[in-house]
Amino acid sequence: MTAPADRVSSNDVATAAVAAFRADLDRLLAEIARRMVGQNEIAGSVASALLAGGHVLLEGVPGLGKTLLVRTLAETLELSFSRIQFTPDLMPADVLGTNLIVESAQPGEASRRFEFQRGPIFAHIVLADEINRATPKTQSALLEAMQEQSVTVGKQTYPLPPPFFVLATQNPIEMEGTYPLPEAQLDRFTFKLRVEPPAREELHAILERTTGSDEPAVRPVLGRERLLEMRALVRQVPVARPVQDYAVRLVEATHPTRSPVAEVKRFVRYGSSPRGAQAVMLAAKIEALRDGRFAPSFADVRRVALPALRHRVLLNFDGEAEGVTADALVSAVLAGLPEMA
Amino acid sequence: MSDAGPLLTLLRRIRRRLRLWMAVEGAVAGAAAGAVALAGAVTALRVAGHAVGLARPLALLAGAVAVGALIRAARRIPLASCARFADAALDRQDRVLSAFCLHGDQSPLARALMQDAVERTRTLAPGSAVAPRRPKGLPALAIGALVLGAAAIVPVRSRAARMPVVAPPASGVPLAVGTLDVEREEARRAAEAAARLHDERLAALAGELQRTLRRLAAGQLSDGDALEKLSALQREAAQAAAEAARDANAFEAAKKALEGEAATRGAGEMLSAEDADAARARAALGSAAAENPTETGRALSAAARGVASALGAPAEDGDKNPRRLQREGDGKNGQDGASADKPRDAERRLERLQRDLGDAASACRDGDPSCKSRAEKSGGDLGQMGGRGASAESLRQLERALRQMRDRLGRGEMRSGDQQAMRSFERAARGENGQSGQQGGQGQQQGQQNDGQQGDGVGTGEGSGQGQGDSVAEGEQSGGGESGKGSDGKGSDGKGGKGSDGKGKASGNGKEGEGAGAAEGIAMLGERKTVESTASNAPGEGQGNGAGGPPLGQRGDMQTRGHETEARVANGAGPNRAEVIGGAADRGFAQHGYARVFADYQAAVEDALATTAVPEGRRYVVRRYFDLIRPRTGKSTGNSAGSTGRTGRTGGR
Repeated sequence: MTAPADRVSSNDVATAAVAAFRADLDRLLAEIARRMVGQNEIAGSVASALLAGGHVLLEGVPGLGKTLLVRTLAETLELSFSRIQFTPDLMPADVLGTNLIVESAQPGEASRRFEFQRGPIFAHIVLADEINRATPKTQSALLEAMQEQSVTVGKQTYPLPPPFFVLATQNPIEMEGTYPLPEAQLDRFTFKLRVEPPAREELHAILERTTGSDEPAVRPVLGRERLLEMRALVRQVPVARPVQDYAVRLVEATHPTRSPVAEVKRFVRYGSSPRGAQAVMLAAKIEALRDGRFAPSFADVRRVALPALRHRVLLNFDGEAEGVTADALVSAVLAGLPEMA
Repeated sequence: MSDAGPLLTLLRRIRRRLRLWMAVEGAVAGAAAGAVALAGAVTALRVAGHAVGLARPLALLAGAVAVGALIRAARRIPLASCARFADAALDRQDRVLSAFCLHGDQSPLARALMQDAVERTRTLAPGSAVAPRRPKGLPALAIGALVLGAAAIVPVRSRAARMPVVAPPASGVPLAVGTLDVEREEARRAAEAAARLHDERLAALAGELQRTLRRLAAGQLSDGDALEKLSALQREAAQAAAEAARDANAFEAAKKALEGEAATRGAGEMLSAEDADAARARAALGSAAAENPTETGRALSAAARGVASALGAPAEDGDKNPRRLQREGDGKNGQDGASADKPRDAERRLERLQRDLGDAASACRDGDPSCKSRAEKSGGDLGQMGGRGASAESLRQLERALRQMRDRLGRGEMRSGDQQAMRSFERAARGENGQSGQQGGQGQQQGQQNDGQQGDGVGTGEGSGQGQGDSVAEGEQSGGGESGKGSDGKGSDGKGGKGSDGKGKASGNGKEGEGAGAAEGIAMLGERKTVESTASNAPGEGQGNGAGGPPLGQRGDMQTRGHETEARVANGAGPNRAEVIGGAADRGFAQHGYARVFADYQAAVEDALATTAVPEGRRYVVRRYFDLIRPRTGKSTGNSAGSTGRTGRTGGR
C-alpha cells in the first residue's frame, strides 16, 4: 500500500501534470489566436482532436480560414506539415508514395532497384484540402493511414511518424464534380466541425490583420515530445462509471432500433459506431483537462457530443426528404436522455 | 481511514438528510391520501346515519401519515445520488460523483481527483446540499383537507329516512261488497239461458265466470291474473257466439225452405215455435216424409241449399271477432290450438248436416224406404241446430259483459281507496281520463301502421286514417242504432267507424233483408277495445283527434342497413413529403399529392439545369429520370407522349 507521504507526492505530480497540460494547451490556442480571428472554438476542437489522436473534417464555405487554421496549427507545433490538394485526377500513389526504379551509384551492387518514394502523407500534420473532390479510390487511400498510422505499398508497410494528424476540408455548397465521402472514411474522423462565417467585429479584426503591412507571425510553442506526453496524459484520465454509461447510452440512442427518441426512430438509418463512443470519451477527457479537472463530467460529454456524432448519424429517406439534419437529431437525443440511468 | 473517508461520511450525512425529506414528503402524501379516503368513509357513515367521532378519524389520519413517511423513507437512496446533490451544491462538474465512483482507483489522477473532491467538500454542509424544499404533495394535501371538510358537514340521514320501504303485496285484495254485482247478474243470466237452451258451452262459460268472480271478490286472484282469465273467457265467448250465429243463419235458411212446401210447412212452423225441440221436429218431419215423400224431398233439398248458402256466406259480426281474437291470442296460452280447431268443427258439422239433408232429399225423391228415417234424423239435427243458434245472443251478451268487466278491472275502477286514486291519477297523467279521443287516436294509429308500419305511439289528429270497426257498435248503444232502427242492433254491422268517437258518424249497413239502415249517432262512449276491430281491412274515414306519434316512428324501430362510424381526425396529421413520395411510388406515381410535390422538384431541377454547366449527356439522364417518375393519370399513353416531347425540346435547348 502506498504510504501517505508518497500519496501526497503522487497527487502533487498529477496535479502539476494537469496544470501543465492546461497551460500548454492554453498557450497553443493563444498562439493560434494571434493569427486566427474568431475561430477559437474551432481551434480548441482541432486541438482536442489532435490530443485525442484523431482527425478532423472541417466543413465550410471557401474563405473562412480553414486552410489557414491548419497551417497555423502546424507552425505552432514544430511538426512537419504537408498539404494535399485533392482533385478528381489525384491518384492514391500521389498521396501515399510509390516505388520507383533508382540507379545505384555503388560499384558491385545491382545497378537498378526499387525504392519507395514517400508521398505527402508522410508528415505529422496533413492537410487534405477539398477532400471530396478526389475520387473514392483516392479517398480510400487515407483509410489505413488514418486508422492504423501506417501505409502499405505492395508488400511493404511503412509506419507514419507520430503524431499523425489529418485535417480534411470540404465545401458544403459546391457539390458538382465532387464525391461524397464514404461512411467508412467519415467514421475515421474524430470530429466534423462546421466553420461558420465570422461576426462583424471579427471581420473587422480580420481586415485589420490581413490588409496591413504586418502579417502576424506565430512561433512554435509545443514540440513533438511534449505533444506526445499530453496525448499520454489524456489516456490516463479516469472516468466515472455513470459518466461513461451516459456516453454509451448516448451512442446507443442514435440507433433507430434502440433509441428512446422518436425522431431517431423515424429519420435515422444507421447510428453511430463504437468509434463515436471512443471519440466522445476522449474528447470529454480533454475537456476536463482543459478545465483543470481530473475526470470528465456529464457536461463535458454533452459538449463534445455534437461534433463527435453528427457525421456518424446517417439519415434515411424520410429524413433526407424532410430536410432533417443530423445536428437536430443529436440535439434531440441530448435533450431526451437522462444523465443517470 | 482511506482518502475517501471524509467524502463517504459527507455522502452518508447527505443521504440521512435526503431520507428525512423523503419521509416528510411521504407523510404529506400519506396525509393527502388518508384525508381523501377518510372523507369517503365519513360521507358513507353519515349518509348511513352513524355519528362520526373525532378520535378515530384522527388516529386513522395519523396512521396514514406514518405509513406514508415510512414507505418513502424506506426507499433505497444510492450514495451516487447523494454525490449528485453535492456536485449540484458545488459547481456541477461531477467531481464528487467521479471521486466516489473512482475511490478504489489508485492511479495518480484518480487519487488527485479524490483529494480535489475532499478539499472542495470540506466546507460543504449537508444542509446546503439538500436544501429545505416544499413537499411535492402539499397541493394534494390541501385538496384532501377540503374534501374531508366537505364530508364532515354532510347531513346525517334521519332514522325515518332509513326505514326500509315495504313494497305492497302483489296478490289481489278483496273487493268491496257490491263491486261485482253487475257481473254476477250477467253470469246468472247466462247460466239461466244455458239451462233454458241446453247449451253446455254457454253453461261452462257462465260457471267459469262465476268462479272467477268469486275468487276475485275474495282476493284470491290478483288483477293481472283476473285480466288474463277474463281475456280467455271473452275470447271463448266470442268464438262460441260466432259459431252460434252461423248455426242460426243455417237454421233460418233451412226453416224457410221447409215452410216453402205445403207438406213440410208444419215441420217448419214446429221449428219456429218457442218451445221447439229436436224430438218434436224429428217427429213432424218424419210424418211429412211418410205422407208426401216427393214434396218432403224437395223441401229437404231446398233446406240443404239454404245450409250450404249459410256455410259459404260470411258469418255476421261474430265471424270477424274470432279470427281477430285468435290472432291476438297467438302464443299466449296453450288453448289457442284447440280454439282454432273449433270453427272447423262447426263447419264440419254444418257440412255434415247439409250432406244428410241432401241424402234424405234424394232418398225421398227416389221413393227409398229410408226416406222417413233420414227425414227424421234431419229434423232432429235441425232442431239441435236451432237450439244452438238460439244461444247466440246470450253468448254475445256474455262476451260483452266480459269485455266491460275486463275494462273496468284494467282501469282500476273496481278498487277503492288509495289504489284506485293512484290509478286514476296515473290515467289522468297519461291523458286517458277522457274516453273520447282514444278511439280516434287508436284508429288513426292503426291506419298508420297499415300504411307504413311506422308509428308506435298514440295516433295523431289529422289524416285519413284507415281506422274503422266496432265503434259502430258503440254508436248503436248511445246513438240511434238501438232506439231508431230497432233493438237488434243493425248498426253493429256498420263499417267505417269514425276515428273520432267524439264526433264520429257511424254509418252502418243494415242486415240482410232489412235494407240499408243508416245508424247515425254520436258515439259518446267509444271505448278503446271496440277499436280493435280495425284489424279487419275495411277502410275507415274521418279524423282522429288523439295525440300523434313521430311521423317516422320511434327511434330504433326502423331496420336499416347503414351503421354509424366515428372518424377520428387529428389536425396536421396529413402525409409529409416523404410519405407522399413513397406512397406515389407504391401507386405508380398517380397521386394528387405527389403531383404537387413533383411540380416543386421539377421546377428546382429545371432551374438547376438552366444555371449549371451540366454536360449534355447528364442533362438527358436527369430529365429522363424525372420523366420516369412524373405523376401519372389514367391516360398514361398520352402523358407519356407529351413528356417525351417536352424532354426532347428541353434537351435540345
